[in-house]
Amino acid sequence: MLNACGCFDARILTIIESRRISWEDLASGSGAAMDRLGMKESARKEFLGLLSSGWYDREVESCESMGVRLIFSGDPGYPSMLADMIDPPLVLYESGSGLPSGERVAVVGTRRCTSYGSNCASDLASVLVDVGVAVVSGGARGIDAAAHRGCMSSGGRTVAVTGTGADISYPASHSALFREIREEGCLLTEFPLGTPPRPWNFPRRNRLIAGLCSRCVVVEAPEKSGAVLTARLALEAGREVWAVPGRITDGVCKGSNALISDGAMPLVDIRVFAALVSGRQGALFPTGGRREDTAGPVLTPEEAEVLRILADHGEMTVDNISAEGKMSAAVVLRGLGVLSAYGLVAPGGPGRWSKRTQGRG
Amino acid sequence: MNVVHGVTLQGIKALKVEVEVEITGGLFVIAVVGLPDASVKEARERVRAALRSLGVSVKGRVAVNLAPADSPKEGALLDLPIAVGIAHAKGEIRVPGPTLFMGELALDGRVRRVRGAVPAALLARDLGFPLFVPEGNAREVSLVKGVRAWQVGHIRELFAHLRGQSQLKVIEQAEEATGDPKPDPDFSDIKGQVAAKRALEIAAAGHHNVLLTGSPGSGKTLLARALKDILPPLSDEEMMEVLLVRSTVGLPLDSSRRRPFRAIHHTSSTISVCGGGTNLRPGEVSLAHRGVLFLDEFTEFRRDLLESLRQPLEDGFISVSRASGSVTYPARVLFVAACNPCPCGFLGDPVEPCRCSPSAVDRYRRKMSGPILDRIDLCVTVPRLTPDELVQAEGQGGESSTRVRERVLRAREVQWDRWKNLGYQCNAELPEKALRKQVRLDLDGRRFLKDVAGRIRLSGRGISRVLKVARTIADLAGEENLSTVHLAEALAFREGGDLPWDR
Repeated sequence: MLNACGCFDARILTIIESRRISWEDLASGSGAAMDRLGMKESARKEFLGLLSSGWYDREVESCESMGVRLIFSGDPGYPSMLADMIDPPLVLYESGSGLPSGERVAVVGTRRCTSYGSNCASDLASVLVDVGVAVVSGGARGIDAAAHRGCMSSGGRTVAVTGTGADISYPASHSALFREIREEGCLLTEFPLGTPPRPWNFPRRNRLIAGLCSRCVVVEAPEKSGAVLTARLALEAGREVWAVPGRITDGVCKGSNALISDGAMPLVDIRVFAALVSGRQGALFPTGGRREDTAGPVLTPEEAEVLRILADHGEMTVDNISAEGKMSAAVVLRGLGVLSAYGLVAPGGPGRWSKRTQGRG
Repeated sequence: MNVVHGVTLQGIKALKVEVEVEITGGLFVIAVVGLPDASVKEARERVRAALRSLGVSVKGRVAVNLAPADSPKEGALLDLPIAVGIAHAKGEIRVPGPTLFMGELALDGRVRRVRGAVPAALLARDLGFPLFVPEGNAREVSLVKGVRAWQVGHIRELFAHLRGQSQLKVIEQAEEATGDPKPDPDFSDIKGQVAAKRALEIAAAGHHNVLLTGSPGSGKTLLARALKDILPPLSDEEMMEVLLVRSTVGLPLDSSRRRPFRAIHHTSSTISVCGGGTNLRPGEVSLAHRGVLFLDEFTEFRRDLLESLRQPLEDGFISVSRASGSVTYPARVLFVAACNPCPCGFLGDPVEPCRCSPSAVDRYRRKMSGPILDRIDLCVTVPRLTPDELVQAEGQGGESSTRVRERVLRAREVQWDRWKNLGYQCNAELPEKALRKQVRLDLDGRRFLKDVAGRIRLSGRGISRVLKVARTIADLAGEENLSTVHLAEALAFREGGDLPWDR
């Protein structure tokens, strides 16, 4: 088990077994055992260095003090979905309240998302929570963060798979988010404590995201993006890949739209998707009645008009709303204030407002 | 008794300087004592030459004492009193009673314009002295009421006047500035941007500081410039304060009641903004007193400069302390800051893509927070209109500045009446404690505020800002009671002004 860091992850266990290398030999650093494993010179040196410095014991100790659990491949707590993968991780560092059981959906996307993307991600996450599905993502900026926040704001448990050691917050500005996830969800990584964010960590992290979910939704992703990679890995792992359609002129949607044209399922209705994932048709109609307009807040005519204009035209500035509805700016702003208090509208871009996809009171 | 007096400036106050002259026999020399600065010492040459041009030749040992001897004197404006003092001591002319003189002398005897004529005129009025000022300063002096003043073009005319041979021109009091200044730019000239205009109206009514965020070319500067013209015109007292500062710096005067608008660039030094330097001159903050102070590219400003703006924003004046003394300048400004949403300026723009990395945006965002942002009540995003939207907005300029100003004025009057007893003038000045006590909400409003504050995570300070703004909105609507609709509008600004990244 020592080689969680020493050389490589994954299939080494089977190799060890098939080549009948004894653990004792390995642990004592015998050259012959390492030869039989086919270790390279550099890996061998590092391995011996770690062995002699007692790295394993220290790692276990500091994990315990930080409340991080170590789950080894083959342990009873090891997620079975990962075990089925081609290259499962050897060890998982888990902090927080354990992996949520049941259906899990990955919501991934670009770090430089638009407000549309982040709204979609957070709405999607919170609707998924409503039907009892956990959300997996990568803890990065943009879509990932929106998905985590959307999930937790609805009281759901979210899983963040990071590309750093469990004790490092990357990006640093997300340390509060990670703290929240540790409290209300689960933070997973396969990297030893203290691993800094290296570019090559993230593709490995993406393979875990792909492995942990049953379905992978790409919300917004440019052409060369980790999210597209995650989708590919998910496909290889036999997961369903969905993508949220974006505007074809937007660079940030190129990758996700390309996924759709390559055969990914387009996600056009969040509730339908949620119903599909949870296998519950009832999820389509959470209140048992029609989807909208059920016991909605009482709106004044002006507010209703503002809402109607936004629903018809999509994202708009206050200027255009007031021109369209022939209302003064004060009236429009007042309407927007009330509507956003009801959660019916939200600021889109700078100075722009749009109707929320889900009118959750 | 000594009758010849000059003035020197101390901050925006003029200080009376007695000019005593003694002439004794001996080799010719003029010695000026009484803490003169370099420009006063050089007065010797100018005075001698100017007097010579009149045929008054100075001989012997001339001692000029500027009393009080312990306060530093500065500026060339003491040339004229020194010249008059010498001529008086020689018996060439007779100054009938205590009189104030100010002016810089040219070598041929012409009298040049100086800075600080308005403070001098105020001093003359308070002392009840007659005042002689250079021709170039006549206009400034004419704006001060109740002062007896004459304008001097050449020292010969002054001497002739004092000898009773001819009369100098008396400075008539200028007519009251009537008619409102023409708004430039007018609100109706600005296409679209109704939300920002509404925000400025609220800012003007409640004296709320504003932050405008928007992409390049969205019209932030134009909006800020338009703000000065929807503020109520200067009152007499305020106008005097503005004149005082301008005159102290030596800027040309504007007799209209338009409020000042000063834009500072982010490369400005702290001294140029806050005042100081060897002569402790007032800075841009004081020049913007009673008007609008505009900081474009707010994020580019150095931190120490922004820190130094805290006092004026809080107290309405600024103290400048240097080795040479300490003065206080008025600095009650309406503060308008403008910045881009991100380093490249196009974050969230519907057409132009943003080229900034998320961490660059983060860093940019961090620069904006800080002590100054705490003093800003209203954050407005100014969207760059897409070509479509621009075409749609064509032809709808909306109301003129004059009409908006009428509403602002009414709202101001309501506030004056309400806060008179507490000693505040407008809603923005209310401290937290008074705010909680004075601004009452009905039950609905309280519930509404609580809901929203919880949802968008408003801090305590954030809530009081929303309350202040809502109070102003109600005042603009002419309503005594604060209700949900006013809160809703204030919250829409709060939310819409929030920048879309990483909430």
